[in-house]
Amino acid sequence: MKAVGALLLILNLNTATVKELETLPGVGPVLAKRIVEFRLKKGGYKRVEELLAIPGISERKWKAIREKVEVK
Amino acid sequence: MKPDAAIAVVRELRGHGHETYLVGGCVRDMVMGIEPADYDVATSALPEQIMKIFPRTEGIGAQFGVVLVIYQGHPFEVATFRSDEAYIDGRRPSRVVFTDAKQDVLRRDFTINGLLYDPIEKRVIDFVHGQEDIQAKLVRAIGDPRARFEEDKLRVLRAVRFGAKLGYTIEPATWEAVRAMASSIHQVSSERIRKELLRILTEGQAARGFHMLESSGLRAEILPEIEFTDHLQRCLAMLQPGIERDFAMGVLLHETPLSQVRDVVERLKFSRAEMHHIVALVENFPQFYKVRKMSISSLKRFFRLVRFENHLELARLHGVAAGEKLEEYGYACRKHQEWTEADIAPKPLISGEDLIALGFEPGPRFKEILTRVEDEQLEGQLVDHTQALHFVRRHYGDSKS
Repeated sequence: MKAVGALLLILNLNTATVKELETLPGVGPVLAKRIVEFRLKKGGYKRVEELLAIPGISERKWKAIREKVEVK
Repeated sequence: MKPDAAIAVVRELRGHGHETYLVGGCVRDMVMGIEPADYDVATSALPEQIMKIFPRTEGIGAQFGVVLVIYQGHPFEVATFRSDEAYIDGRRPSRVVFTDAKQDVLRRDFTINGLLYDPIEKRVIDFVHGQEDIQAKLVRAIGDPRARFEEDKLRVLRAVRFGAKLGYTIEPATWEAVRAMASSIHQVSSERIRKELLRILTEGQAARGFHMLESSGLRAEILPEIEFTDHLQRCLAMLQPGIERDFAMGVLLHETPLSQVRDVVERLKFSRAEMHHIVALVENFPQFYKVRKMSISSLKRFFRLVRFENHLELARLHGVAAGEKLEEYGYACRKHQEWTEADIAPKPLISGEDLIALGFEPGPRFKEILTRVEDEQLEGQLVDHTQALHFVRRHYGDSKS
């Protein structure tokens, strides 16, 4: 049951920590840090698709993570 | 953000023969002399044409004609000129019709957000007298205010947000419509209300925003639980732009009864973590009046609250707003600085296994004993493993008891 709960966890891009972002498929420490830096630079994400502007997020990676993130 | 990449997007679309402008909040900011945080683009190009021109795009509301274009490492919302047909459920247009730039502007909410900018000719195109309203610092609905708010009820809250954040007045006819339609805000989803409310709280001028919410009747509709006192207004006036959202909510709710705080955060559908933090802020706030009477161990346990710096800051804001001397806050601050993380949450001197080794039977007493040992450790009475074991033997004696 616990594992299922973990899989269903949707990360809010505007509040998620680097550590939490690292749990996304294909996202390591470097990319997780970029996602947070982009958030700080922009003053927050308006929509999840903006992740596509981050170097290192390919179409393939994007498809793997898009259901696991949200913007609130 | 600098406009260079946005101008390049406009140039690219123009190059393909499509009439294209910057539009909305970014133009307002530029006219006001503020650097926009992001840029939106309006164009005569259709979504599929936009997607063909740029290698990196994502349809984000393709049926409404909005495409996210990634260009030079930045995201831009590029939208086809459209006019909305009748709105259904007070938010979604039943059908969109792709039209020209003027019709596109006329469907927008406020005149200050209805400006177009041609970055190549360096020219503002103004169908709605938006520049005059920026000069006069007025939030004015485009066209008939009631009709605009009927289309999307959230606009009544948006009027307040722009008025507060920009330091503008809401133009009388628009204000009249906000007041008349305050109770229709319930037709808007709680997620959208929460988002707008948080922006009013965290983008600066929260006190001004709440004053407007109060006098428009909107506060009574969306937050009937809170009492908007002078004290609360002074607290909100101290919230800086960019402040954490859940902390701002904690400040807003810190004098509201706890059961109602829970109602608010549930109704507004905050995330679990945010709900927790907001409730914890309100719940623990009264503890600050007792800090000087707390034992060292209780105080250290108090400091273990998640994001304790937020709890401290709430105590400070409240104290300053209430004209208190901040003695308790000062005391808590000193102690919090004086102690390291290891002082506040040291590694346990003994564990359950040690108790088993001493011959105790696992059971509810374990927690009692371990808590007592931790108390003594936090008080500085016990400093190592051997002392802790002695202490247990002395106080809990024979393991059989």
